[in-house]
Amino acid sequence: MEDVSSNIKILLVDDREDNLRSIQVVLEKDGYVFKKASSGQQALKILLHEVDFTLILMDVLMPNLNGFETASLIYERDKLKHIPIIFITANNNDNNAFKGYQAGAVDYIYKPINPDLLRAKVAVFVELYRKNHLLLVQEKKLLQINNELEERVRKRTEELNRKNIELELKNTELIRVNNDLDNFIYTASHDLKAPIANIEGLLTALFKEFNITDKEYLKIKEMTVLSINRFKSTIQDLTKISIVQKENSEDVETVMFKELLDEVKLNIKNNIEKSNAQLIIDLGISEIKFSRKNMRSILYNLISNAVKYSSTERLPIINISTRKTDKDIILSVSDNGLGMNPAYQHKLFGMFKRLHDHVEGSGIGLYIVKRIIENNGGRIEVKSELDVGTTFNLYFKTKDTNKLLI
Amino acid sequence: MKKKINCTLLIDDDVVSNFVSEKVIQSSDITNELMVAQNGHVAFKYLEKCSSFDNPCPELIFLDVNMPVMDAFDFLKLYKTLQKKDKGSVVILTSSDNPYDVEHLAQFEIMGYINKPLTNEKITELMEKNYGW
Repeated sequence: MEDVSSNIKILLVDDREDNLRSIQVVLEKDGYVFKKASSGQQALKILLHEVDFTLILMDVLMPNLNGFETASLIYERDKLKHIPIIFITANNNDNNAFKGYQAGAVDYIYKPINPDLLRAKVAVFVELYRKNHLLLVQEKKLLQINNELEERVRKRTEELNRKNIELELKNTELIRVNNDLDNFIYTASHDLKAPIANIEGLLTALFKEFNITDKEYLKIKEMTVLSINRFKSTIQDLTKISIVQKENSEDVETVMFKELLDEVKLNIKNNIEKSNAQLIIDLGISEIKFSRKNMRSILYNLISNAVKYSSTERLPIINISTRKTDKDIILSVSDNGLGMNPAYQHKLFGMFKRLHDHVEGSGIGLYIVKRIIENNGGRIEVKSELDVGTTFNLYFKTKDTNKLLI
Repeated sequence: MKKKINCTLLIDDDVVSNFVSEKVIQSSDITNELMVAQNGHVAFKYLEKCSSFDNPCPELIFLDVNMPVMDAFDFLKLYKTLQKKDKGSVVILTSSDNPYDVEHLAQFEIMGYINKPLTNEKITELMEKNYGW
C-alpha cells in the first residue's frame, strides 16, 4: 500500500504572514506539505497550476478578495470542487456566510485558533482524503484485475475456438478416411471376387484336362481348393463388414425377439443337437425397434458362438434374456462354455481375431456384432472366465429411439 | 432325352472368365453353337439382326453384371423392348453377390443366377431345372 501522508498537500491562505507561520507550526508535526498564499488572488494563481491539494485553510477576512469570494471562484472550477476548505474566521457571525455552495466540504475554525482543534479538524479531512484515495487505488486495481481477467477469458475463448475448428477439421478428415476405408473394403472385396472365381474355374479346367490321379498331385489339388475356399470366405466376410457399414441406417422396424430366436435356433439346429445344448430364454422385453437383419445377425453370432465354444465337460446351458432399464434395453447371452483368458479378451472384437482354433470360424462374427450395436449408439460388454463361461451384455439405447435405434 | 440347345450367347468382358465358361459349356455339350459378346451393346446389336437362317438366335443367354460400355441392367432394359418372338432366357453369371445387384435384377425376367466360376455341375443343375435333362 502506498504511503499517503507524505503526499498530503495543504494550501494556507492568509494576508498576514505571522498567521500563516503559526498555522504551519501547529500542523507541521503531522508531516504535511504546505503551500502558502498571502491573498485570494495568489491562492487562485497557485490553484491554476496545482490542483492536487488535500485541503485549503483560508482566512475569511482578507483585502480585495475575501475568503468566501475566493472559495466561490475556486469552486467554479470542476477540478477543484473536491478540495475541502476550512475557513478561519474571527467570530461566529460569519458562520452562515458561505451558504448555497453545495460542492466541496466546508468547515470553520475560530480565532483565536485552538491548535488541538485545528489539528483535529485537519486530521478529519486528511483521513477522509486518505480513505478516498485508498478507494480510488483499490478501484483502479480492481479495474485492472477485471481487465486482466477479461483478457484471459478472451484469450481462452480464442484458444477454444481455434481448438474447436481444429477438431472439426480433424473430424471431417476422420469421417472422410473412414468412408474411404469402407469404400476400400467394399471395392476390394468386390473386385477380388472376379479373379478368384477365374482362378477357381481355371484350376477346375486344369485338373480336368490332365485327369490327374497321382497321389501327390491330388494332395496339391486338395490344398489349392482349400486355399481358394479360404480366400473366398475371407472376401465374403469383408463384404459382410462393408454391408454392415453401409446399411446401418436402413429398415428399422419392430422386431420380436422370439421370432428371431426361433429362426436362429432353426438355423443352427444341427449344432445345438450335436452339442446337446439347452437354451433357456427369458424375455423381459419382447420387442425392439431395430433393423431385423442386424438383430438377427447379432443373435445368430452370439448364440452360435455359445454353442460352438461349449465345454465337453458339462452339458451346455445357454441363457438368453432381455430386460429394460431407464436408458437401455439389455440383451444378455450367457453360457457355461470354455470361457476366455481375460488377458486376450480385448482382442475378442477385433477383425479376424480368434481365441480358439479347434472349431471353424473366421473371427468376423463378434466384430460385426460390435459394429452393429455401436453404429446404433449402443455398446457391448463381455464377462468371461476360463473354463467357467462367458456372458455378453448388449445395451441398446431406448431414448430418442427414432434417431438412435436405426 | 437330353435336348441340345441350338445356340447359346455368353455376354462377359472378362476374357479369362470367358475362357473358363466356354470350356465348361462346350464340355457339357449342351449347345450346338456358342457365341460370345464382350458387352451388352455388342450382344444387343447381334440379337437385333439375328434370324433363324443365317445368324442363329440364342435360346440361352449367360449375362455378366459389370461390364464396360453396356452393363447387365442397361442390356436387360433394352432386351425387354426387343420385339421378337422366342427370345432366349437370361441366366445371370456373376462373381458379385452384391445384394444391390440382386435386388435390382429382380425386376427383369431372369431364369437363374449362377455364381462364377461356371462349372459342369452348375450347368447340369441349370439344364435339369429348365430344360428337362
